[in-house]
Amino acid sequence: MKNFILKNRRGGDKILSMYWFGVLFIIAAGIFSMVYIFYASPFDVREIESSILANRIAECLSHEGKIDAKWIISAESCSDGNECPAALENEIPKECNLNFNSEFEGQQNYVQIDFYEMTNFKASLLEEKEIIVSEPLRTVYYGNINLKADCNIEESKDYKKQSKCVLKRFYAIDSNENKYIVSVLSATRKTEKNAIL
Amino acid sequence: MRYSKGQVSETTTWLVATVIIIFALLMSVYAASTISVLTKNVGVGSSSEFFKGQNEGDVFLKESIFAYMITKDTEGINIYTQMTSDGSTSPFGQSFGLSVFGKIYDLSKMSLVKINFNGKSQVVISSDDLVNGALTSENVKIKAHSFEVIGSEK
Repeated sequence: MKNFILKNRRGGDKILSMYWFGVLFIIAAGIFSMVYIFYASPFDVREIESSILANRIAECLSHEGKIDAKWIISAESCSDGNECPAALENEIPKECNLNFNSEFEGQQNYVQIDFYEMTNFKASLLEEKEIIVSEPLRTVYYGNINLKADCNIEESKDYKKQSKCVLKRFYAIDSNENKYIVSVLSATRKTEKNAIL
Repeated sequence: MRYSKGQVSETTTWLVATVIIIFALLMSVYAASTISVLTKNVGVGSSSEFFKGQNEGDVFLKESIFAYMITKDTEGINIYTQMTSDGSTSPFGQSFGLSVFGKIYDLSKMSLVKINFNGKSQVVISSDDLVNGALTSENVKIKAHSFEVIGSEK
């Protein structure tokens, strides 16, 4: 009888050890999957990048509330119906000391600046979406213009792989006391680094 | 047969324990995936505290306030001078403030925009669905007078 009990206990211990190994494996697999899931997706900083870019553009255009004369002169010449010189598009990186290069092929950013006359500026809401009714005096842009389409889509639905956009406005005056509303649209792609591993 | 009841009881205990362990792990895996989604999308709203810490604030609002302060009325006196000399903001300053700060915000994203003149609030934009979203504010204090713009996102 004594021998039987001892033999039986040994068998039970063996099964229990197997079970413990099983539990250890389950816990290890659980911890592994938790860590893997957490670190599998990269940090998405595109919205912040777009916001920082928009801020730099705003600081470049306006100095303590006054727009630099070079932007205004161009705006006036364009408002008279004259075509804006193509070279103006390249003013943004040059004048604002911005480097739009990245480790990826092609332009990964898009910046668009719209100058509106403040007194004529009008925006209205249509199906919870803001629409600017006024025509800009002048539009200056730089970068990959294809990204602008993503910004229009983003207003209705936010997809993970599309570019992240920031659209903000500020009020500024020029040296002749003309009042302007300046709208800055900034878009960042860089999907490979921020949305896909 | 004499030991079978004890063995069944012991097996049931371990079985239940295993189920609990697996359930706890599955919950943790689900929590890890949820936290990953929530924390890894570093948006402007969620990281606004970061910008505050850097004294960055709202650059667009700051530039607008600077321009507002140097805007002159029909007599050629700017709002800044009016604030420092009159002791209160002039009717021009107040009406012009409402006009300017009602135009710089995206109407679809803001639930409330207020201007405070020396602590007295004036509502610029107010939507039906007032939600306490991310707050943006900038203020200017000149002697005893203060001017503040506060915006609340939807």
